[in-house]
Amino acid sequence: MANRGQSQYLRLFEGATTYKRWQNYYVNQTVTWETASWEYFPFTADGFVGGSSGSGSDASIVIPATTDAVELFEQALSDNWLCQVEMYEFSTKSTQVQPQASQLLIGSIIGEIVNIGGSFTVLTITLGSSLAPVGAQTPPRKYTNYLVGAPIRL
Amino acid sequence: MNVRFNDPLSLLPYQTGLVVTPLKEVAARGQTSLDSKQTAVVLGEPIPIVFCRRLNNVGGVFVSPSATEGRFSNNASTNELTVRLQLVLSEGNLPQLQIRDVFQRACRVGTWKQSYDSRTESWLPGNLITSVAGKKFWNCPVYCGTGGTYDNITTLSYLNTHADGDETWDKQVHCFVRQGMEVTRILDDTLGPSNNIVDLSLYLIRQSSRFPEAMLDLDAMESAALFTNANGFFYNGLFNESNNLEDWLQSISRNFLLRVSDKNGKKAFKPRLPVNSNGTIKTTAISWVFTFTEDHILPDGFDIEYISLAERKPICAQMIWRQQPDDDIGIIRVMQVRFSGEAANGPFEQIDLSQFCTSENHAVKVGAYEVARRKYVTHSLRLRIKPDAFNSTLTLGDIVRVQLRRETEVDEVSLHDFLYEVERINKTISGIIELDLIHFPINASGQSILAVLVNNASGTGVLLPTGRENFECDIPDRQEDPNPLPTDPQPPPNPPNPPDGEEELPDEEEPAPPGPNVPNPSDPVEPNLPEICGGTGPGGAPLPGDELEVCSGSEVCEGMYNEWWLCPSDSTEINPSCTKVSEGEAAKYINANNNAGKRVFVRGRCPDPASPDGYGPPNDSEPSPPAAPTITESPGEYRITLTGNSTASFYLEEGYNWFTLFVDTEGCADGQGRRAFTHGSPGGPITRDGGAGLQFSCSPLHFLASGQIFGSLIKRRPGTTGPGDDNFDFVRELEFP
Repeated sequence: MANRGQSQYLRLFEGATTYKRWQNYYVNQTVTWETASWEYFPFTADGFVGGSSGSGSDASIVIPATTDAVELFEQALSDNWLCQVEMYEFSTKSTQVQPQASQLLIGSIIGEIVNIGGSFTVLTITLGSSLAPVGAQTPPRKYTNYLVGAPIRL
Repeated sequence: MNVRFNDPLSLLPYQTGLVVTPLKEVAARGQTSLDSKQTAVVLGEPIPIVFCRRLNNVGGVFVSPSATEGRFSNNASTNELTVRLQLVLSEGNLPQLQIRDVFQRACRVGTWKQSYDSRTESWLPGNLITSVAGKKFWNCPVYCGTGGTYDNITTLSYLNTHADGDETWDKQVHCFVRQGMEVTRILDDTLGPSNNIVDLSLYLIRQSSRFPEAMLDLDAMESAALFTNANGFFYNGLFNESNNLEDWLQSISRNFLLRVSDKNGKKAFKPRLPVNSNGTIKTTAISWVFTFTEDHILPDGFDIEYISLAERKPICAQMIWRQQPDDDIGIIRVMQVRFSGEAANGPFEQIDLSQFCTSENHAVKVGAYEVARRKYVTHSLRLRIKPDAFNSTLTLGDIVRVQLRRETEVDEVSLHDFLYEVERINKTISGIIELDLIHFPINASGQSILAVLVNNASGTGVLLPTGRENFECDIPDRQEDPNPLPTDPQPPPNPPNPPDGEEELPDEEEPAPPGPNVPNPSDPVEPNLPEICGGTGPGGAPLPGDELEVCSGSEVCEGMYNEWWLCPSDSTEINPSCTKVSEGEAAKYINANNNAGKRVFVRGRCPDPASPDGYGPPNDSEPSPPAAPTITESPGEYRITLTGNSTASFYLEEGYNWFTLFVDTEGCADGQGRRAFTHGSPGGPITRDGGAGLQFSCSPLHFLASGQIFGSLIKRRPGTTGPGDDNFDFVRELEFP
């Protein structure tokens, strides 16, 4: 375990448009991985949980509350962007200059940014699903005047 | 600090849907009431979704559509009543019904037309009933509807006539729908009716919320669809009860031997049983992907939780399903599933699938699973393990073996040796992995016991007769007429005006921060600080001879004891460099001539008999502006008199105009008398470091200035050189026009 390193890659996107790519291992470097450039940002993501739905095990990302980061995630929350975090594992005995081609994907999470909270200096981003655990959503459509007018009274 | 809490392991069987006990048991929900009064749509109700696909004489659903419009008229002589109803069948597009599949009460009567996305036929709603002498008056509705757009709705226009006195005119119309709402089926990627629960779930997920497509695991969904299809678990039902989608997914999936799963943040269904690649239940020996031993588990990394006795007791599962004949209404059926010799007299647990299940085998297999999991699935595990080769390969649903030595006896070692299904994986940034595992019982041949039992469970195949023998109320030949209903889409006769009220809010501007700051209210508990009044120089700067006092109203208390301090110009508070120059109760201070550049503080202390000197803690004022030298004016010149300076360098800081400065050095050490210094030129700046420093050593020193001078008179601090601001003390502003 001592020779295992973990790096995380975070991507904020919507459809085919990617708004931000961050990595948290190569300090103050922008590295290339999977043909994309990833800036350094000191975030930590935890809660790579896969399993039964409804267990309340949302993933969380902790970021320093810099002005840019706050603005970025405020917009992500407002505009319903998706956030994907991938966690890779590699040997720390090998080169640490750039991502190793042999690093292994050991965890991945994709979710909507469902909540942001924290302090003035640290923010915790919660990833999850916008499927509300309460409230009626189905069937999706209801009778309205537009659809059926003022219905017959029997 | 980020603290995470894990759900208790004892909740795992409930979270996974492995253990679910019905809270109440009610009449079969698939039952249809035949001889009831026609229902009308009520605004706000959910629009029903008819989701079914009849294949191989299995499936379809009997629905009772509600009316939105009606037209009632009678014959002026025979009093025959003609009733026209506009009925809503389903959201979405339904293939044409067959003629034999439309009923009023239990009878195939009337004529119809069907359309999608519009009104059917052109008749206008209304009550045109007239009174006919000697005949019974038709008491038909007078509020007959107004018409709508029927967007994305399948409608039916139903017409029937009733002889004078016929009391069946207001009875419910029913339809047997063989092919339900069209969706794009996930298995064959074709638009058409479906009976696959995965298709319905995907439709609802996509329609009910802005759920991103990227968060759906469509590969897993397709595997689940293949599983339900291969094993005959079909949905043939009417979906019209308002539900929470997540709740509905959780509850409905259990009845199809599926579970809702989140894998990598993506939502999917996952079979509860091992499956082959073709979707059938896997009944061959199970192989496992990894064996966990003592080498992998961290200290205190093993938790076990047995399923409670209440959830393990043998039961008889009463499975309610719906037998759906090809030419008649459905019959509710009950099938009891139990282990041989167990729960012969209960307890009974009712599982109602009649709303959507039209296959006996489906009901029996679900019942077999419910009964078998109580008997054989005994416990769950939570392991905390260190990363290893499985780190990048282990996935949800994998079967693993846990083999641990239990050395609790001197001469014998036992093993905790079971197979488990990986139910939850938690990977942390620390590298530690937490696995939640559910017992996966196998038999001596290595087969999954549950899979074998469910796969082998099958119904009796017995079909009950409907009990109906008389079809005389049907119009002749209707019972066997499979022709589709005619279609006749019409625009709405009288679109609602206005349609649904809409209020579109204008886009506001970007939120902005609040405007200029407003001072907060003063704290009533904290005392005011004393303020200095009496300075008559610029900005209240003390001039020589000014009598300084504590401003009226800023006293901290009555009888305040004042201490007056004279401090260097850079002081922001009273410090050891300061000199106390006056003190006493309500004391004042008269500014001396040689204080130019210094700052004055007043320290107020309130009477306190408990204090050794009779006064309490200090309340210090803000510093005064630097004391200013005296300026005396005479025609054409301004005289500045500095006293108490023995050796000093004076500069004029950056200004904006030329000036001529006369320095009267009479009596000074250099003995050169009055001299004139001119710097800059009209409009040009004066640079402080351009050799313009005037150095004298005398007391008093007089400056005579004429011309225009704007700027600050500063004095070099003794022992400093160079231009830095820290090397100078401010003397006073000069502004001589």
